[in-house]
Amino acid sequence: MKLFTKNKMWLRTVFQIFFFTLIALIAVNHVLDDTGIGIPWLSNISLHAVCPFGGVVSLYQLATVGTFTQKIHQSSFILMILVFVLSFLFGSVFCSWVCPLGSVQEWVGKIGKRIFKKRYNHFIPRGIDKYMRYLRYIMLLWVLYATATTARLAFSAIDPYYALFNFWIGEVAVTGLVVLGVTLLASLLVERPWCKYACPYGALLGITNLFSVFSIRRRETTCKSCNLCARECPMNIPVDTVTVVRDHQCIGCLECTSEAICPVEKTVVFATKGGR
Amino acid sequence: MEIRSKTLGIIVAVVIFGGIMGAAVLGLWNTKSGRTLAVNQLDGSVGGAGWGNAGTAISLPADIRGNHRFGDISEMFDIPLDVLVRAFALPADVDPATFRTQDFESIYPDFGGELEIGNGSLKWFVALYTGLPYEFEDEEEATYLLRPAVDILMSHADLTAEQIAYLNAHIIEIENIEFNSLQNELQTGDEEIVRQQDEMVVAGLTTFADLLDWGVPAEKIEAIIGGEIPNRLTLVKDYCTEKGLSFGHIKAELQVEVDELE
Repeated sequence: MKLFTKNKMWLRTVFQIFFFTLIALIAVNHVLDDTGIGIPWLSNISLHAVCPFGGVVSLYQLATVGTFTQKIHQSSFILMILVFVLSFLFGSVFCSWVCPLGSVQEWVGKIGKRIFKKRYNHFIPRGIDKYMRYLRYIMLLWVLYATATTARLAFSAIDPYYALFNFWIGEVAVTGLVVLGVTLLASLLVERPWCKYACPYGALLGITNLFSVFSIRRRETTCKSCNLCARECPMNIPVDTVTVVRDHQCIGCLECTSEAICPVEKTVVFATKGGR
Repeated sequence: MEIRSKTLGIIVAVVIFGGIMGAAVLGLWNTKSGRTLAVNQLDGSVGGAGWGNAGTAISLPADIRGNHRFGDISEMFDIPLDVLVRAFALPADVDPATFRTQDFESIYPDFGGELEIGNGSLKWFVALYTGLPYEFEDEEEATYLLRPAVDILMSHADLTAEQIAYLNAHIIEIENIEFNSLQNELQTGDEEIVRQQDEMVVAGLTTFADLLDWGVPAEKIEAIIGGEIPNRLTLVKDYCTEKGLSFGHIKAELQVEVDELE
């Protein structure tokens, strides 16, 4: 019960648990179904079928050849469109409300917070961290290029999301398991390390933060400059220094808003341009 | 306009699940193997546009999995079942419609060395028979076919000189080879099946033969499944799938009968 009384953003936590459980059950049922003991009322589709990034990496092949990349299904393409709709409206909220890998990193990070207290999420010097944030765009370009030229899911060999839900079936590449392990360990030191530095899908969705209809906005006239919003931000965005957060790293978790950490009502809000 | 977390949560849920439902209603929510791969045979290069438009439910040889039955393969690729039976020399006591490709090992003897007939062989045969694109999963691992399969392809398929050369170099002759009997395999082999038989638990690998051997009267089985018992070696799960029955319900009812015996 502590989870729901202390955390003002409890609904986001509910969403994270729900989507994590849903994806985990689908992944397990996909394997169980092959052995004849699947759960009848639950979908037995593959994990690739419910991954919106599959639609993204398949775009080039779809445009040039008119087909999907191997293992990618039409459902991935539908999900890709739906997530783009959400992102155009609200920025990369998919990362903080839906993505199970992001949720797992966040949960592991809670342990890190307890261990390292204020040092948590501040281990990497800002000068280096600033440039590392763009590594995920290199990753995005590589994934798109490799998938387009090989017509295979080049990313799957290092994909920690796939490894997370399939590590127990023995079909995951060792590299995927290593990346997952490193990501989880790094989550003890840094909040959402995969999201910050390596996630190609987060990189793509992050671009929508630059023009999304809704974004985090701070009212300077009522702001007490207490700095709480910036300190609470999992992505280390200096919310206290801007009036509109147009950072490609913002994940729309709303933890910085007046609904959550900001002590002054209607000062940090998630709103449209004229809506604050 | 300002929104709070509850509103955002509702919108996220509505967009995702509403979008999925809308796509399903429009027939666009396809989670099965409907994609195609435009890869040329043998050389693996990308190209050959036109192997089905996106979203069309065209199966490819690469989609064949170990749990596919010959009946499925026949239906998916429009290959007569008897062609598959001849090509892979299925023994007479095997029901070809329900034979799973993962069970090749149970019917073939050890051919020796790297000679092996497996799922890759079936994919390769289907690709050549239908002319559909296929890329070897492991370029360094040779893919063999039985002599009858090669003969069928030579007389039926439109093969390139390169493909013919490959086939001729990767044939397994089957003269004088004694095939395993699946019946023997059931009696002496698979530990999983033996375990289930011992435990008398109705599961995905349970056959009608298991039920009868455990002592469940044929009349009761037929009453539960709503029809005559098919080939005794048919998996109950496969029968349910074929007849559009819920395996979960049938399994539960059969288990009640089995438990009463104990």
